[in-house]
Amino acid sequence: MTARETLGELELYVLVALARLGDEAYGVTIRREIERRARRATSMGAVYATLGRLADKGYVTFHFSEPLPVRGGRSRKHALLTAAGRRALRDSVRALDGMLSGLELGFTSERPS
Amino acid sequence: MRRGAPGFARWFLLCVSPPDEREFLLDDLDEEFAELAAAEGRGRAVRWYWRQLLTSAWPLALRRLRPRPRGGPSPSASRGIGDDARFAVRLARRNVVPSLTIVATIALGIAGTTAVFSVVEGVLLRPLPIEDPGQVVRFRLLHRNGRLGTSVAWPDLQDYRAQTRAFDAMAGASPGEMVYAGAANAEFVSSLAVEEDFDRVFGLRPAIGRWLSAEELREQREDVVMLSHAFWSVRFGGDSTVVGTAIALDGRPRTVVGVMQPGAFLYPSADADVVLPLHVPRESFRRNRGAVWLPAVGRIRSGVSFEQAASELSVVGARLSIEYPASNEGIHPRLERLHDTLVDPVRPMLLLLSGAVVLVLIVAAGNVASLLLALANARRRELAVRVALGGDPWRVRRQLLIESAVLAGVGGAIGIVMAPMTTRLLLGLYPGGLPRAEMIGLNPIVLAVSLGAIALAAVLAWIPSARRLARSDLRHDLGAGGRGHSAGARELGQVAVAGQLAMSTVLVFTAGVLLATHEQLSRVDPGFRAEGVLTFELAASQARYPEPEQIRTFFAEAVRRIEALPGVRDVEEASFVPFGPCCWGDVFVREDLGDRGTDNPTAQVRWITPGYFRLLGIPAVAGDDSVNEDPAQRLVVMNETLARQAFGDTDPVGKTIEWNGLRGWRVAGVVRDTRERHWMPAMAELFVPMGWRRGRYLLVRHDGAPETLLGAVRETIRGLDPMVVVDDPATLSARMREALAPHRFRAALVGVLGAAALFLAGVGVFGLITQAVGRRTREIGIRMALGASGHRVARHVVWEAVRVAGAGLGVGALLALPVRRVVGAFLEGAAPNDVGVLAGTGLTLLLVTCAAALIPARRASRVDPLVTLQSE
Repeated sequence: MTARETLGELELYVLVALARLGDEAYGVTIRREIERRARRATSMGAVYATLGRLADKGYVTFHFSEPLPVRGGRSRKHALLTAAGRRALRDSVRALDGMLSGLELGFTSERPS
Repeated sequence: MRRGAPGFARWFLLCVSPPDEREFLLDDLDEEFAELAAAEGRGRAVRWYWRQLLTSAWPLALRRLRPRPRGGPSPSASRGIGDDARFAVRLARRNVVPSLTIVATIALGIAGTTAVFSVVEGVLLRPLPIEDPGQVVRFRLLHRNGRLGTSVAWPDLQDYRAQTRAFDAMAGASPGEMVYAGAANAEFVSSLAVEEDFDRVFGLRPAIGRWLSAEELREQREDVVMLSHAFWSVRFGGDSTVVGTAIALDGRPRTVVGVMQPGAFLYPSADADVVLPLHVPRESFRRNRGAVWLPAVGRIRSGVSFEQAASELSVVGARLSIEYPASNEGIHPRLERLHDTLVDPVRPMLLLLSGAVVLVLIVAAGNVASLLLALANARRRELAVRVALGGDPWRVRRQLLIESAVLAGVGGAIGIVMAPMTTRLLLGLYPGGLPRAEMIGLNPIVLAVSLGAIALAAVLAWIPSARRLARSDLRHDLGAGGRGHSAGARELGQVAVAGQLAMSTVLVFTAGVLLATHEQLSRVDPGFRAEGVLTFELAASQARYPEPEQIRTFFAEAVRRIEALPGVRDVEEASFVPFGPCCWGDVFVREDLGDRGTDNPTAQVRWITPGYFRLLGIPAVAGDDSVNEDPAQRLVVMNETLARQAFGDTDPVGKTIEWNGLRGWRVAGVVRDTRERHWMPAMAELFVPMGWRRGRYLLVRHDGAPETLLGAVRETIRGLDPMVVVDDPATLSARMREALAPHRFRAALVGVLGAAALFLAGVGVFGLITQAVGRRTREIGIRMALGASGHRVARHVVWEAVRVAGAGLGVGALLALPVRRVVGAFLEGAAPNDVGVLAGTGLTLLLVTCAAALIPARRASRVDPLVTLQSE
């Protein structure tokens, strides 16, 4: 577990977004989720590149949706957390919590509801 | 869907995104773009899209460049080159014959290229094995008649040394031969007599003992000697106690002061066995500036350029010509880089050789290319299926390139292994030996060039099949009959074969010109009867035969004993031998005109015994040719050229001349001209009585085969005096053949390469026509069903080959024109019939083409229309 690679910031955001979005996670929703919650401008390219990296590490798998029932409807590439991805997310969050516990930074973390 | 997403930005993203993701990525972007455009207007959406592009490009590009560590089933782009190579090997094993042909062709091509380039590199390109080789020069002398001589006068050299500052060291070095008296018998050794500073010119250091001291060299001592490493190893078995002892050279004891290092660089005689102090023999040579006899070398001071040194030397030369107008006026000393001296004479030959080999390599690459193309054609359905199923065409091309590279690599490796053998063969055949041959070998530079040639061959051979893929019409290739070459591919094949034939035309034509030159030169009448004459040199040394009378007795006895040998009809003596080593020219004075300075006639002076003309069958054209038996009678004989040059229309017989300072010699007669070399017009020759010369050639006319006489001659001379060497033995016919050896070598070499190119081009024609017939089987079947005879069909097929050959011949003939000018440097005055040679070349090529087309033509003529049409 200690040998596991550390997650980059954007990787962490993408994993969290996947955990929140569940079945609805694909390029558009992931990008919006990160922009909305982390208040960070994020490009579609960066999202795809990050998803690719996470897939290389085995944290993410893809599945393709049925074509949308509209004219010229397309298939979407949905991303899903794997068990390993879930563990990696848990470990990162725990590590962050451990680092933060008992620390007074003089500002409060803002939790959007 | 697009609904106005900016086209260029979209296209750019398409390019940078990974192939298996781009579709989803772009669709996602389009989706957001559409929503944004609906909600906030198109302008904002476009700006948003562009921002997306700018921020996406970098992570996507990085992502694409990074290899994926995943071990599972991988998409096509990351399949290893190793897999391709393994596939290529499997494929080669499935097509054994074409693959072996390709490997063998490339192996031969690379072996030839590597061998020739290693020779070129070793001889032409590599610097001399001495420190600062660019600073080492030799001195030359531009004479009044425009001749650029290779020697200078001794007193001039001393003035060059005293009056210039551009040189670090300068030394005269006179090559020669000496008789070395070993334990059992005597032999000739090659010697180099040098001045002070010679060792500094070449940076020579002794391996054992010391170098000749400055005093020994200045005092021109005749009792010391330095041995070459090779001579010391062979004659003294590498025994270092020989230093300090005396050895006998020319009958005089000399103390060995040291042994040179192995491979020490010497000039003018690179293979000198002994080096000793230069002894200027005659007082006249110390004063006479007209006596130009001494080769000289120098080292330019470091930091001084060649041009500066040359111009300083010119100034000194000009000063000397003012100071000594009688001898030096109109004479200019010149400098020449030693590297150029050594390499210039062989450069054209090596360039010719390189050019010829490169042409053969190109022809060979053409064959390899068409074989690979044929292999790719046989697999066109497989390849088309791969592309149709979404295989990246470049991925398929990479596969083809690796197949080509595997075959070229195997062939090239074999070629490199064969190269040293080929090089040895080449050097063995090279007439007269190459300068610096000991430097030739496989080294990193040669290896790098060979690897480059292999890579080039691989790529050249790959291009046609890669292009074929670019043009491939998938539907056509996937079609059931798969009978498809596009018209483009067919043309490509024809152009390639025509190119091969053009290169072969150039080579065959060149070989023809060289061969015709050799033929013409070997038919030249030398003006004497060469058959049945054995010649060799004998020298009566000063030590054993100090008195003139003893010399005369020795030679008289030698001639008497050899005449007694069975089969010998005649024995004569001369100071020279036709087609032998060159000669000694001198100025003489017509006494009726008086001394006219530089206008005095010059001639080669030949010392002969009276029967010389009779033995060689040279007739007299005026006067008497056999009267110069006794020097006291002061009679000389001239050849026609000298008579014409010196006396013009007047009859020289009875006139008196002065030669070599001897007055009152009467011209007894004029003899017909003879040649000294096949390609040289006769030189002006003055024949004088033999007298008491120490070194003489003996000419022995024999009834049978003169070469069988040599053993008996050696035995006879050993019986007379075991310390006298029979040197330079050869029959006159062999000498004449030997003189043409460079011509024979050139003609044979280019001929062999031309034949190789022709063979390869023939194979190319065969392949082309076989394919054409295979492709048109149905058409031929229809023709025959409609009544065409087999004959007619065969003629039609051969005609197609002849058309291609005609194009190749035309281009080749055009290319041959400039090549002919280059080859002109080797003809030495011979004028082969170019048009005839070109016609012969064309005929040869047509014959080869027809022969190559004959087998497929016969196959075409036997097509059974029923079988062919049913199979469709």
